Amino acid sequence: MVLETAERVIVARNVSKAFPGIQALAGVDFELQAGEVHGLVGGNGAGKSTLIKVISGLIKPDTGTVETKVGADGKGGMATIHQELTIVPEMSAVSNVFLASPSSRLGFLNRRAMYGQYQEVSRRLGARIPPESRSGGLSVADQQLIEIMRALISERSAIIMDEPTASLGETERQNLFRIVKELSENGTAVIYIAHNLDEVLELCDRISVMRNGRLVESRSSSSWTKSELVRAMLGHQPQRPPRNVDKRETDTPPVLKVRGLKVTRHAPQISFDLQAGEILGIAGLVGSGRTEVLEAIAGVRPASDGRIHVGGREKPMPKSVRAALTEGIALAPEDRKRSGLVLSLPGHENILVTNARRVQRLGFVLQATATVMSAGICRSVGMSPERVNAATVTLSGGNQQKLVIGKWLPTRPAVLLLDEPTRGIDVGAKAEIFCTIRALCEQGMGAIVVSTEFEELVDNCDRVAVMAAGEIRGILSGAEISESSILGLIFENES
Amino acid sequence: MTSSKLPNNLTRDGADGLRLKMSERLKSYNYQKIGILLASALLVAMVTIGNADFLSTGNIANMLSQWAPAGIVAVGMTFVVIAGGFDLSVASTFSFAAVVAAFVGQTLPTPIAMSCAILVGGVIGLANAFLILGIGINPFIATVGSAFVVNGLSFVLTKNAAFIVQASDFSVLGSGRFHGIPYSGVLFLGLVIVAGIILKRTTYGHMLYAVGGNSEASRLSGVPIKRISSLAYVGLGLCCGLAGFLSASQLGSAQSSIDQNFLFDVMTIVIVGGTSLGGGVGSIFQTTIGLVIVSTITNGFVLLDTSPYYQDILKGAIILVALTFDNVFKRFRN
Repeated sequence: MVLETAERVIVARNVSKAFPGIQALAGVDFELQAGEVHGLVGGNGAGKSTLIKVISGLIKPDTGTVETKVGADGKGGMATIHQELTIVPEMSAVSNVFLASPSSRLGFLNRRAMYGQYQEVSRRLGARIPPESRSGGLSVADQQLIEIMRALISERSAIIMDEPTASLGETERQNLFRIVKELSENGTAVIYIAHNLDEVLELCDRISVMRNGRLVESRSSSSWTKSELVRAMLGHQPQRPPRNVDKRETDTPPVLKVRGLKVTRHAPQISFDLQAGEILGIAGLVGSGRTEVLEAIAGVRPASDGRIHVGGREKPMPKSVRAALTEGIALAPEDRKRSGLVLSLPGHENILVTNARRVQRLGFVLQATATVMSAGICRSVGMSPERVNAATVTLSGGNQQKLVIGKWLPTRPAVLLLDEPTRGIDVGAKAEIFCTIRALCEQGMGAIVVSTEFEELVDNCDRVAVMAAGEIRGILSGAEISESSILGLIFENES
Repeated sequence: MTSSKLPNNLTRDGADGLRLKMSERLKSYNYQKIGILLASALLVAMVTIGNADFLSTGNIANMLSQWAPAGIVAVGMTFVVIAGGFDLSVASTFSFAAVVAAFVGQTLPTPIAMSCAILVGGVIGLANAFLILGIGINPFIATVGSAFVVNGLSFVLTKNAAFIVQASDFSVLGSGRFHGIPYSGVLFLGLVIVAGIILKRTTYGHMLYAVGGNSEASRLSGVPIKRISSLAYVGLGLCCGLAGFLSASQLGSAQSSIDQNFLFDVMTIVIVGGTSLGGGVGSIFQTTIGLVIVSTITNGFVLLDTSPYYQDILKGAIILVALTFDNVFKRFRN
């Protein structure tokens, strides 16, 4: 329909797919041309993932057809970098890269060939993961790189990338962009899914927007602007949470003081304060020590040294999650599917996981009280109460995150720590998450938010602590906060 | 990126680029393997001190032929457990295959009897694979069910009598020796080598670890997970068939009985070796060490004239210690 000249790698016609209760795809037409980088954006639940699964043959559509041009090697012409990391933790990095298609001769593994290819693709990506390292021990960013390497090595005629940069540092991100451009010059088609719209605008030739299971618009990138994309994704103008500007210079005592925190024995000391009602952002690149600081305060990974002041009393750093909780410190962890929720249980059962003690008598759960509590939580986090009865695994990323925050609320935390609360969440739900956090802070709670996306810290935080190489390089507040000032602090000591 | 600044856990390697520094590599090394190896050496040393005959050629040859059937099944079980599965029907399949071997061997040539036993094992393995991967029944439940069925079939076939085989060549593989070396032991050791190569050097082995380590990730990456796991069950079935024939050949007869100790021994060998019940971890080498430990305890106790009851206590305790280590190491690593 668009360009009949270029070779089409994928043609999907009138594809529909319904899951119980949801029309995930409704009459979607989608085309992918050879050598094209095709951006796919849309809110969570817009149908991107379902479309991808239909295209790559993981699920069958109810109606409609998908034609894929098979590569010259006879393999199905597609490789997918999944948003959920698909790493086998006990296997080495090189084994994970060659997971489904190891180099072999007569069924015997050809290690030399695999190591050679591994080194080559590492160089192209600028990745530095030793081939024999155990994948489970690697950082999320390295695991993501393995995933990308796996797709690159497969040499398919189309590569689908679902949020490939979510946990990458700047260098790897730039390398990936360069490789995507190389791939497209060599005729490989790329479907690129990301929530970072700047990234999509920079990288893609064409951008399609999905909303509510429909492909609402598809245009070449040059004719899109960021605000148009947002409007197309939401179907309306986005809401912006208000910032608590200049509210900080109050005389209320801080809800949390951290003094001389050392994450490990040789780490630099870290000290900072968190005011009541404040959202403090921690900005830093992958490996800057952001997550480690949060985990030390939350007692997840006990710190080597340091003291905290909570509720006016001085205490050593918490030694366990329970100890942190009794001080009123709760953590919403980074990986909500693995560490934040019991995905097999419905939302209200997840709430009980942290709060069973609050709604029991003689060891029996009082269902009525539990229901009231769940309803209260839904109100506080802005989640519809029917959703709380659905299996958590079916909820959108935004609703899952609300649940991760919400399950702590009955414990009345004084300090809520959030590690990457909007990872893999669409623009609309991101704003809602920050509105929720803001509303909770209005009631006197303090929040610390770690995020890779500096833009959202700039938009939502009252102050931003900038971390690099394990130390706090500076704390920005009010009008000082901007992406350039954050980057300035991070890179000021680098050559 | 320039090459001047490396992360501090890496070092440069002339040939193929980056490597983990020695200290980091030691950190990620599997100490459990070393622990198991030391434990087995210690046990062997203790029993030998108690009775020097333990390490005599004669005794080792005897032990090899005595433990060959259990060892062969343990090798098959290692594949299934690495794939993240389990099979409780091995004792029944083993015993049924022995009965089939003896039944056929009464009237037909030995090679046919052997083939039938192995075939029967393979078919039972295929049935298990179908129940577990085709239908999706939990492996424990599925194989308890098939164990009962197979055991029943075995009684139907024998009507609870023993089949005695007269043919002289029937006992060659089980009891025959070449300069004192039992054929059955050679067969077992050969299987160990072949299985070890399959696990570590072939694409099938690679994918078996992948499926056991994270089946969803493997599926999404395009690994044919059902085919890979099914093949492991079929392989285990074939091993049970071969072991059944060996046992019938050693005794010159077979009758239906399930020896629950057989299942227990196979499990102990695999688990004590450190192959994780969670899947994705383990090796044939470790299973072989597991066999050394279990056989040393069993035979050592006989040599040392100790009450067999203590044997059970010790075996049970060793399983628990092995699993405790498994968990402690996992926690240590994360």
